[in-house]
Amino acid sequence: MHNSGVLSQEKMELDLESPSSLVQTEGQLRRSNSAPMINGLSDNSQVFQREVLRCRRNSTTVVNRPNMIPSSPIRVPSTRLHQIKQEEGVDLMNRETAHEREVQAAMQISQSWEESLSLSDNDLEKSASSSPKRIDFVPVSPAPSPTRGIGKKQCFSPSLQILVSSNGLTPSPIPSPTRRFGRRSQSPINCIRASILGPIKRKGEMETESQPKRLFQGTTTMLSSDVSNLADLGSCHSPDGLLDGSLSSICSSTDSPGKMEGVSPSSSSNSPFAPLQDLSPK
Amino acid sequence: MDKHFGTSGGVGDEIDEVQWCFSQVKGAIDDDVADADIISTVEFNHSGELLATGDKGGRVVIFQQEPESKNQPQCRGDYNVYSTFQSHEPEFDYLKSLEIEEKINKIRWLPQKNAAHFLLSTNDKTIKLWKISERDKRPEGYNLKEDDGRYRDPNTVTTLRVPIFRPMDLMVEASPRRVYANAHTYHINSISVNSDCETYLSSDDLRINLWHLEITDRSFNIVDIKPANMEELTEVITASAFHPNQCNTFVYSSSKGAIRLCDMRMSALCDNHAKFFEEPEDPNNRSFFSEITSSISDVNFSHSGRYMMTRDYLSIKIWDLNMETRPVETYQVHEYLRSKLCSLYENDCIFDKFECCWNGNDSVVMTGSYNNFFRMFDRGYRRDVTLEASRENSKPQSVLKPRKVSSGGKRKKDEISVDSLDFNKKILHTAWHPLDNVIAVATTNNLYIFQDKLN
Repeated sequence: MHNSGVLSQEKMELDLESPSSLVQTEGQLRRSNSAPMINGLSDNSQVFQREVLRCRRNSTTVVNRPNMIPSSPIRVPSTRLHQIKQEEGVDLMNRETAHEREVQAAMQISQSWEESLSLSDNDLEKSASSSPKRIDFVPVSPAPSPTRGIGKKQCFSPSLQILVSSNGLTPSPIPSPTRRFGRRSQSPINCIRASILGPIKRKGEMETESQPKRLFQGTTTMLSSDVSNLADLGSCHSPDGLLDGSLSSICSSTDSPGKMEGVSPSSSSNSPFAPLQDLSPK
Repeated sequence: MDKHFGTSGGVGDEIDEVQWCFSQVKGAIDDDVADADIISTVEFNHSGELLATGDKGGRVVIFQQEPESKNQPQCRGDYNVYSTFQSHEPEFDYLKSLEIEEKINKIRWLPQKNAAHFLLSTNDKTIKLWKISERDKRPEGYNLKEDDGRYRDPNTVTTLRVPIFRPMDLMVEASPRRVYANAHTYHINSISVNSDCETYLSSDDLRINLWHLEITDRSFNIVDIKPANMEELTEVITASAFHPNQCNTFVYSSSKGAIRLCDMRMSALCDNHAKFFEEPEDPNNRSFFSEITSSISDVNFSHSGRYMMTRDYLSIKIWDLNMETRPVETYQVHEYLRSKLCSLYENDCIFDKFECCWNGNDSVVMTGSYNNFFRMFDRGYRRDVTLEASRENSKPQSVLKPRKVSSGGKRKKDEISVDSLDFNKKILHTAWHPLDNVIAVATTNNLYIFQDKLN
């Protein structure tokens, strides 16, 4: 009844996809994991075979969606039941096939690593061979890290209809609650740099960049992940009276993660690595 | 037993006499819907004063009803934003190379015990207990700090003063009090607070766990339907709920259309059910899609605890807990879709999970459909109505006009043909105020509030 070749292809696909939905797989993130293979499938194999898999994914989708009612009622691959069965590796033979693939992939990996790491004059050539793609994604353990989550208050002012800091004084120019909050990956460096300039808005720059949140809660700290979360919530206006010449002294007295003197404020740069000379106001 | 709502009259309430009016709509107007703004859950608290929504971006927005104004008695207050916070962030499981979505799957309010409000919110993996409290005073006059928090230059401090509390603009704080993590291998589909107000359950595809609200590092597994040999797996858990009065009773529904009622007094593990509710399949309606459409997407006890309601793809069924063989009432939500199941399978709509809800006195049930339609069924008078949540009908206090879908043949005037329904506009989440005729209906990214017309 089942074409085992097709099924194993499907299985390979479904194993790699999030159990939540077959439909939403296009944007799925994958990350190379150098940890030893604990589960059945190796993460390494997923990364390296990504190009191939992308093609397969599409073809699998076609296979799973026959245009006419299939004769066999058992093939209902989009249901949760089927997804879980696939994940758990129902078929022993398929499990062995998958394992075989991992082993082969692992061998390929070690070979390609050896090649790319070996010293030779053909370095350019070697770099074209498959190397692990760097994915800019901070890995987080399934358990929440102790620096986020517990104990962090989020305060809202119903009269002003905006988020405020927890001492209630400095409102942040957040758009309505129905819009997405800030940028998750905004580096804390950006916030600090922009604050030196104060409320002057530059053309094309979002408010959230020119008015980063300032912590007025003593020595805690721009260093912790608190700041990145605060950046997510948006930024604070500092009261206008503080924004004249006293700015530089304010900044130097607050904790900052590095040497802030001499750092020019960022304009509209999203990258924390923009060279200093580009950061002058436009 | 019959309760009255507003001024709509007494025991002889018929659903036709209740006219639903537009009250408010929340959310962005533009058609370009940001993924993060998609509403994923809606829930009134126990008094109906607060209305919480969760979205795909992991945020919770709580609306509060304004008190009735003296100028306009008998005109219910508007719901305005009271609090908003980021409940869940996206996470990455590096062991499985999978992203854990921050989408809020469910919100459940705890009964209120003091000035603060507590709610549970969950994504696929992690449940959090949030405390929402008000602050309207702020300490001022510290010796070492300015009021904005900056430290004062010690040289300028010449006198000593006692800080005092000064009134400030009302601020609503949301703080995470507990994080219950790492207890579910699969995606959490339901949470339900027990009537003992100390425990709650959470269910995923194969397991149900019992938690104590105070204890975050462990939970009891009370149902585990994972077979030793996965080949034998035939159904998954789709929803679960605690009984509203009996703290030992809970139910869970399955993808095969069955509901199991379990009694925690029987044994520590409730793999064996106390009652099994399943309706025998109608051989006339059997098709390739029967099993998919019989999958239950939501299960809800009535407020009285005597009945429970289940929603599958095409119908709502009301079950008497004392009768396991078949439901006491069945309501077809959109029977005109039965002949379209093949296309609905093609575009995945057949897997949409609709929720359903009871009104405060269990006389009317409501659920959503496509084209931004939602349906109400009056159990007493066997009448139903189809209404639409759209911006066109959004003049304040304008009465909603009932809609009708023509399933084929002649289409009467004002009817909409099945083929012109917009299947991207689906109402999956609805909620009914526990004490009043006020309903919250979520379209993709907008929240509509309707209320019955008061004379």
